[in-house]
Amino acid sequence: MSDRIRALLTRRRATLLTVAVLLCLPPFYLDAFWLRIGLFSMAAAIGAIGLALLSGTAGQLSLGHAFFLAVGAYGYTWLAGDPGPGLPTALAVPLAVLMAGLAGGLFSPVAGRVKGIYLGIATLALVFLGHHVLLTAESVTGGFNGRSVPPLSLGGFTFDTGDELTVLGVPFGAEERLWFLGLALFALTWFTARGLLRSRPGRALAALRDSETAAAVMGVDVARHRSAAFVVSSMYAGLAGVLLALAFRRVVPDYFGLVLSVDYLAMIVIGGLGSVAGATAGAVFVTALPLLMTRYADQLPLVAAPGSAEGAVGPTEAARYLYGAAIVLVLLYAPDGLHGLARRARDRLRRRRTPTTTQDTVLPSPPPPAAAARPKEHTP
Amino acid sequence: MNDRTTEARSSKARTTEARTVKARTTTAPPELTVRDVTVRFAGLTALDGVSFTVAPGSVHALIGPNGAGKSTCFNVLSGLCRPASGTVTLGGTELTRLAPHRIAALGMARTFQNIVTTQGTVADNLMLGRHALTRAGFTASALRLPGARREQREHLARAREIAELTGLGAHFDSPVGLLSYGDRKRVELARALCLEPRVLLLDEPVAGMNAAERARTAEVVAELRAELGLSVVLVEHDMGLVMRLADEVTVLDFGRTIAHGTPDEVRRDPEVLRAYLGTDATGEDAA
Repeated sequence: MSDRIRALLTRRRATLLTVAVLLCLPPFYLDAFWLRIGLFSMAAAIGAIGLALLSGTAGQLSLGHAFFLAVGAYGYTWLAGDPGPGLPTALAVPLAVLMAGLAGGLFSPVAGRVKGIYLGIATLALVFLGHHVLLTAESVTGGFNGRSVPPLSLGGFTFDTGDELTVLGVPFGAEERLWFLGLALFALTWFTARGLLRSRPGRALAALRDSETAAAVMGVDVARHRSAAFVVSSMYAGLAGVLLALAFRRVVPDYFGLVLSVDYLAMIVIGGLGSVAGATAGAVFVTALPLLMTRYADQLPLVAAPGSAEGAVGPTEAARYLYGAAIVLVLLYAPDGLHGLARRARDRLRRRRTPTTTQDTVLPSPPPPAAAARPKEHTP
Repeated sequence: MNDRTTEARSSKARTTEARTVKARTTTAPPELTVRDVTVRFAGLTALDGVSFTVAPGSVHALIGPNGAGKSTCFNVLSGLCRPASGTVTLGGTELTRLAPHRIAALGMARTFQNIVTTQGTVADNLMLGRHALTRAGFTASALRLPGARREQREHLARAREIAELTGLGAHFDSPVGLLSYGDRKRVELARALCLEPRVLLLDEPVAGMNAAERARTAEVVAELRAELGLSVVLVEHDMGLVMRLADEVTVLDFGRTIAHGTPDEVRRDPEVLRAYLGTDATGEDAA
C-alpha cells in the first residue's frame, strides 16, 4: 500500500503537482494587470513552443509565425462572430486551430522542399500577404480597425465579465476566468509538444536538422516531415492566436506584423532552441518585459513615462533595447539559452548535493485555501 | 576485463534475441544486383559501367584507391545519387528510381565514411534507426496514445539489445557527442543494424580505429553475418579486414571495375597489384 503511494508520489509528480497548484493561485492574489501579463505570456508560450518545434527541432526558419497567429485569431473571431457563420464559440476554437493547420498545409509544397534560412525568406511573404488581406478583406476582418472578439463560452460558462461570479471571496472577472483557460491550453501544448519531441516524429525532425542525409537513409521521408513540422507549428500558432484574441478582446491587423514574427524568434533563441521549457521561459521574458517596463516606467532611471517629451527613451523602446541586449548576451555566453543555463545550474547543484541526497520525497502540503475573502488591490 | 563483460553482455543479448527480433531477418536476404551503373559529375565520370552482384548472405568488399568511386557507388545503392544509366535491383525491385527512405524501408541500411550522427543520446540515434519499422505518427505521439507508447517501449528494448551486441551497452544513455571516435563509429553501425537490414552497406567501418577496436568491429560484422544472415557490402582500406571477412571482392579504379573474384584471386591479380598496391608491391603486403 505505502509502496503504491510512494510510486504515485514520485519526485516528478510531486513537482508537477506543486507547479500546477502554484499556477492556479495568481487569480486569487494578483490584480488584472498581472493576470493580463500572465495571459499574454501563456499565449506567447504556446506560439513559441510551436515555433521551437519548427525552428529549434526541425531546423526550419520561419518568419511567418505572425501570419498563423493571425489565422487563429481572426479565424476564431470570424467563425464565432457576426459577420461570419456565428458558430458556438467552443466549436470555433478547434476549428480556428484546424484552419491555421490548413493554412500551414497549403504552404507545404514550399515548406517541404525549401530548407533552413530559405524557408525564412519564403515565409516572409506570408506575413505581408496576411497583413494585406487583413486590411482589405473588410467584410471578414473588419479592416484597419479590426473586430471585437466574441467571448468564449463553454457549456454555459462564459469567459468574460458578464455575470457576477465570486470564488473564495474573490470576484472573478474576465482575466481571472481566462487565466484558467490559458493554463489549460498551455498544459495541453506542453503535454503534446513534449510527447512529440520524445518520440518517433520528434527524433525524425531532429535528424532532419542535424543531417538530412542520415535521416533519409534511415527511412525518414524528408519532404513529408518538413511539411508536417510546418503544419504542427502553425496549429500551435493558431491556438496561441485564439488565446491572444480572447485576451485582447479585439483583433487588429497591425498587431500581426513582421515584428511579431521576430519577437517569436527572439523568444525561442533566448529560451534555448528546441526545448519546450526554454521556449516558455523565452516567451515569458519577451512578453512580460515591455509590459512591466511600461507599468514601472516612472520608477526606472533613464526611461521616460509613456507619451512624454520627444527624444526620451520610452518604456517600450527601453524594453526592446533590453531584450536586444539579452539576445546578444545569450548568443555570446549561453548559446543554448535560458534552458541550457538552467540545466547547467541544476547539474551543478545536483553534483554538490549527491553525497547527502535522500530519495524520499515528501509531497508538499497543499497550500492553505486561498486566504478566505481577501479583497484584492486593483490597479486601474 | 572490460572486454569480457561486454562479451558476456552481448552473449546474453543474443539469447534473448530470438524472441524480439522482427521477422524480416529470418528469411534469406534478396540478391543485390548492380548492372552497368554510370555516374557523371559535370564531366567527371565517377562510375563507368560498374556491375557486380552481391550473393544473398555474403560479404562483398568494394576496394580501390582513393577516388575510385566506392562511396559514389554506395550513394547510388542508398538512393542519394541518381546514376546517369544502369540499374540496381534488390530482389527484383528497381532501386535507382526510389527515394532514399523507400530504399531504407526495403531493408537497406548504411553507415557513412565520415561519421554522421544526430545530437542526443545513443538511444536517440538508435531509435532513429527504428524509424522505418515503427508507425507512431504526429497525432498519436503528441497525445501519447497507449499504442505509440507501447511501440516506443518495445523498440527501445530492441535498440538496447543491438547496443549491447555492438558493445555500446554501457553508453546507451550517453550523449553521442561525448563518445570516443571509435564508439561513435559503432553508433553508426548500431543505428544501421536497428533498421533490421537485409543488406548492410558499411563505408570504411574501421577507418581511424586502433587495433583492438578494429578487431572488435570485425568480430561484430562476422557475428552479424553468421547470426542474422544478412548481406554485407563493405568498403574498406584495411586489407587485412577485407581479406578476412570478404567472400568476394570487386576492385574499382577510376570508376571502372578492374578485377573481381575471391580475395585470393584478387590478391594475385596483376592489374590490382599495379593499380592498388603500386607497381613494385608484392602480394605479401595485402595479407
